[in-house]
Amino acid sequence: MSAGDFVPHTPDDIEAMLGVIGASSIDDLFTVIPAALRDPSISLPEALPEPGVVSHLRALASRNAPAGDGVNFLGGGLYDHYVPAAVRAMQSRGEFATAYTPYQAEASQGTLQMIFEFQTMIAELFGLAVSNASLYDGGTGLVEAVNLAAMRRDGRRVLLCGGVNPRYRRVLETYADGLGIEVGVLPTTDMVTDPSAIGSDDVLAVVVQQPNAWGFLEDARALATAAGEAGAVVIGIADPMTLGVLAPPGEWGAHIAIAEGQAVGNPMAFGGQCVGLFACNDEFARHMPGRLVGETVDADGRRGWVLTLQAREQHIKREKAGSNICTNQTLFALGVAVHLSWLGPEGLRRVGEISGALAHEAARRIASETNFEIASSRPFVREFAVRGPRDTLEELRHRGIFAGPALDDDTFNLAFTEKRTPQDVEVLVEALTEIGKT
Amino acid sequence: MTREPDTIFELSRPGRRSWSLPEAPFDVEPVPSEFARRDAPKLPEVSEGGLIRHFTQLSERNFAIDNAFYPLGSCTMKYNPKVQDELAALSGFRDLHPDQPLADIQGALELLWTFERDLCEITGMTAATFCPAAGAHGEITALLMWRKHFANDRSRDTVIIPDSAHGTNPASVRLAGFKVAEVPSGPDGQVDVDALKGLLGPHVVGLMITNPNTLGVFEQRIDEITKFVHDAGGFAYCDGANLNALVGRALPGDMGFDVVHINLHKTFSTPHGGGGPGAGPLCVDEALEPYLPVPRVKRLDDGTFAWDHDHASTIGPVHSFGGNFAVVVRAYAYLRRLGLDGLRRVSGMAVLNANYVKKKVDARYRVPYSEGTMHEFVASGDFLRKFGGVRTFDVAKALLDHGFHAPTVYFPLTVREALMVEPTETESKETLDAFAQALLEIAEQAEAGHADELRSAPHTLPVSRLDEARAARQLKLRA
Repeated sequence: MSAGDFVPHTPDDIEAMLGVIGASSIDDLFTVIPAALRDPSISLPEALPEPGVVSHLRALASRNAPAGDGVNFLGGGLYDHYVPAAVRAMQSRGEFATAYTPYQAEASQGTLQMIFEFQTMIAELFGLAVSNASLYDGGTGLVEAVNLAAMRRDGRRVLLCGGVNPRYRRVLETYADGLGIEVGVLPTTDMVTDPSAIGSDDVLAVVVQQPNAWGFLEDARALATAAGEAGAVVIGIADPMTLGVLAPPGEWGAHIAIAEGQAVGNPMAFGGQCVGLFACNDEFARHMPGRLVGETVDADGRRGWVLTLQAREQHIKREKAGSNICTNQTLFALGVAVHLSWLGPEGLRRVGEISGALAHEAARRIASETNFEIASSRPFVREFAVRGPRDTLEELRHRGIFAGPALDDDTFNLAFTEKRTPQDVEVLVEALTEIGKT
Repeated sequence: MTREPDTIFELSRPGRRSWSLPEAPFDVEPVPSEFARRDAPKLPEVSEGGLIRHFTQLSERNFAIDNAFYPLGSCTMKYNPKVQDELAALSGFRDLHPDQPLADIQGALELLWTFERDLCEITGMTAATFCPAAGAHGEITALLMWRKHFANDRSRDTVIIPDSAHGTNPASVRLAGFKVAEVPSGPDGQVDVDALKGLLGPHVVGLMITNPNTLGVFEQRIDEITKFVHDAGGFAYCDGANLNALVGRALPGDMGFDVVHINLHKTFSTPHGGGGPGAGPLCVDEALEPYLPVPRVKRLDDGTFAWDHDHASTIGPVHSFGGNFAVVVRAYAYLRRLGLDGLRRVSGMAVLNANYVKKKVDARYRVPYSEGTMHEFVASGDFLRKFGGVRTFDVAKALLDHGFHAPTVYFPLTVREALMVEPTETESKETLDAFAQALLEIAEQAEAGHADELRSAPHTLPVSRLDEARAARQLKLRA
């Protein structure tokens, strides 16, 4: 028996429509499928009515213990920031959520103008000329950045600073053979990369993450200069929520910059609500991957927006397209745009200051009161790695504290957002004090 | 609502704000000057009321499935059940971090593990991954799996694709470092099997094909096609963009495919968000399972669930985490609601609706490959050109004036002046009647000598026809 299937057809409708078509039954319409392939046995769970679906999914959700409900210092690319109610209110508007890619510009001015504003905000935030309508996430964003660099320059070797998020590095390695590139990792000292490590031989691109995967600040300007001297494209990876206080990639010399944008306006969602932020300078603008929205005018001279430079894209250029991306993460980009509008320059700075103040207070106390040490002497902003006894993450979790990710057995990250409080820092320091004694 | 809206930057006033956050609790530690930002980013400064009104007004300038019929061929714009959004927003899903200990995430892993089994049932495959964030991401994932399989045989470098394929197929092939060989369609719009045989050989990695194809027609010789590819040592990929026609009624696995991606944002009814997010889980047979990307989810002997980050022959990860989980939760809720009977009704009514609209309009709009229409059909607007040069482009814009989103236009490339109509199963007979009527009226308008009205459409939207050439020439990508 059907549990309700969102299909509006009454039996009379079906009969009348079959009559117009000249078919005797619905099954009749499927005889175009060879008989041997038709109506196989398929085993699926029974249909559930809406209240039953809700109970089932609630039961599954209740078997999770979400870090966002607890004292959460988890970082590594996904962050537990405060998402204002205004963001959810706009993301849940059906006019945004249930529209398709804005192919028919006149019927999609809302999405198009929103993306145009999003592009502007990301370009501003990164200190670069232009941005696009979003990519999937940070990892594939790095792949697209490298692919873009390879479209404009020779060279096969892509050098990653040792502090590039290992998740992004592994995604790039998955794609490397297909792209015809080699991935090299530069060594680190005190958890950052020395610019002299960049050689000058056949380097296509150098990738610098600022702050790096352990939260520490690279000598990004010097790295960019050294990379530039080697003739390489400089690809920057940013943490957008630090960019109210920290120099953006465009300022320290990146030609292309990417970031995981989840932290802005989107929940952690088990890593499943990511959005790849992307920006570049004018040299690369006309070859950028993804959808681009440009301003124009209508036949009556009114301002309006359209998808532009579509001739770069797969649906026109096919195997000559630079990228294969079609569907992106626009609804999550809307979250970014609304959250950045809610914050403005002052609010973004405040997020950076609160996170930074909590992180530095915690670091001072951990260094002086516990048997843990800060894993590098380098400056940091809102996240840092600490080193201490093994199995600390497990011990913290027993005390209701979430931290990580782990670098190895004795080193792990602590990340701070404006959701954390002095009380949380107190709880953390107490726990680390106890754990350090054993 | 025809007043030209300001951008949010034009609404911005220094000192105005929405944000509400505490003071920094301790002395602010200034970022050392060599690392500090010099100039604040020019983000908007608006009140929260102003912000909400701005984005709400923008939203009102959109056609969407919630306010209009949206028969965009190949995109499967069906109604997106609201309960799914509520379920994905449960704290137990929304506030979860993937680096939490396994004991914290058992419900999420069980959902993924269970849904993987269900999708394998629906496709006739043995294993699946949820890592691809979109259909095109699924394509490149599969191609990288093939590349890994043939790592020791670089003479295999060619992927065969029909001339009617989605543009993502050839673009993905190139990104995977392979070459494209295009196989033509025969007079029936289906793959020319003799031409295919001529293209096969020891240089072939595999074939990518959409079934039903982009004309909405089931490839009658699909089992032969996949067999010939296998005989040549290659793999067969099913682009699952059109799975809505088949769910519950035929299995890509039975057709001889080794791998199929499913667009959850199409067939499983998750909202497309104005361009995304999607989700493109990839279902594979035993031969390809070892290459699946990580992380995978496994069930342990004690019945609990765990990540598998490093199985033997994996290509590695293709996403920073595990794909668009927020989309996967919605799609899983949809499947649990429908069950097998519900899915069969989905495909049944989707095919009924497409055939019905086709029948209502095909006396005027020629449908070149009309035999065996499934969930969509492709009409040609070519006949309108003799009436004052009316193009399919104009028909699309005129439909907007009738309150309908346009079909997909100028695709597939095998039909001149193509109009690709996919009504989906959630549209009523009344809506379809009105849409067919609008298409016929537009043709009558052209025939009656009113080409100019059509060529200047739309007339009733917030903007009239937009100058796309100017946008590309005088590139302005930011305010």
